[in-house]
Amino acid sequence: VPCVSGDLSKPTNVTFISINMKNILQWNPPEGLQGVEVSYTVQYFIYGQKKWLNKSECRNISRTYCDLSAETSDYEHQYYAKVKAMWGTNCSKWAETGRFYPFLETQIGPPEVALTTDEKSISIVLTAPKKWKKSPEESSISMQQIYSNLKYNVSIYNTRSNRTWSQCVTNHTLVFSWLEPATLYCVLVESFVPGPPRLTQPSERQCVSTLEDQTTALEVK
Amino acid sequence: GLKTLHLGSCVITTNLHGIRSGFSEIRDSVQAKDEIIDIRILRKTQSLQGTKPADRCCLLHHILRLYLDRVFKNYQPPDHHIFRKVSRLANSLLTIKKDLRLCHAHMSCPCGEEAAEKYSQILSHFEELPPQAAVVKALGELDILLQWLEEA
Repeated sequence: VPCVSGDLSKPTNVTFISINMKNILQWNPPEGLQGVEVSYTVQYFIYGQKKWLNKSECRNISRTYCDLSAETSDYEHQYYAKVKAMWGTNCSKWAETGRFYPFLETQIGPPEVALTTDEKSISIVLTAPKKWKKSPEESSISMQQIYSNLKYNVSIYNTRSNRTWSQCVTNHTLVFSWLEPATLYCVLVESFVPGPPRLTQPSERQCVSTLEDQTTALEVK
Repeated sequence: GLKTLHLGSCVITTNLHGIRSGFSEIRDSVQAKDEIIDIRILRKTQSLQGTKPADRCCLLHHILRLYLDRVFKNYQPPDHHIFRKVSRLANSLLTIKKDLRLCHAHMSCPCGEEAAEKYSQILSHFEELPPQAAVVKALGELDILLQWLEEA
């Protein structure tokens, strides 16, 4: 049943949330209709092509987000998306995003961080985040393959002295030396790509203790 | 940091990060004025990185001349902030164009058939639009051009 367009106010804050090329369209319900049984329909558009396309899994949905990762997976293209609200026989006008350029806008997720320690040093091994993929069977693509200039901001915090060091690296292994034995250190790592500013997501903070200084341990015996 | 662009035998350096950061500050408001979303001027099939290296310098030289002579010159900025940002972008691209002219003077910027063909396609996409709409669209597509430079 066609709805009467424009009687309902539009969804608000329609925007793409993109992390490692997983591109989710999200929005807020129309003003004044929070908690009301509103449904939504989404369409998307490839900039430079000819028509708006439907996303069948996001037709008449009650949730306020829609995964458009597959539809926006050619990250060299630019996209638009729009959503409209429906309630009974009334529907809103479309609410549209700005131009979305996944290659420039996707957030680069944190790397995997592996720590090993000895008395006075901590070795850190980083594994670049993986790009979103359609299915588990698909082979993984590292974000490093897409952004050859991917870098990492590594911070290490001495919980005893409250001192923090940071280092910007491109390679995946680094060693922090001259540390204090038997001391708890916490490490935080953030991926970034030089260029226009992007939102970033730091890794979980990981804490590890350096080993006892073996020389003093022997003397004590 | 400076980025080195390898355009065949023409090699130049440019502050591409600075240019991209400058454009990212006005990108949303410039692109919001482009309502003709089913036409794209800089298309993948004419990309710099998809062009054979020897012709990249000439293709880029033509594109920059289009931007400097017909886009920046005719763009009507809505406010002073955007005017300043666009002027800085224009000056940055002018610097790159001057470097390409030096390559031309040293015979390292040849214009082959591929460059001529791709530039004429870009020009026809540009001229297909009403003049002011073409200017706004081309400016909004600077992120595509800058991406081409990043990948060149």
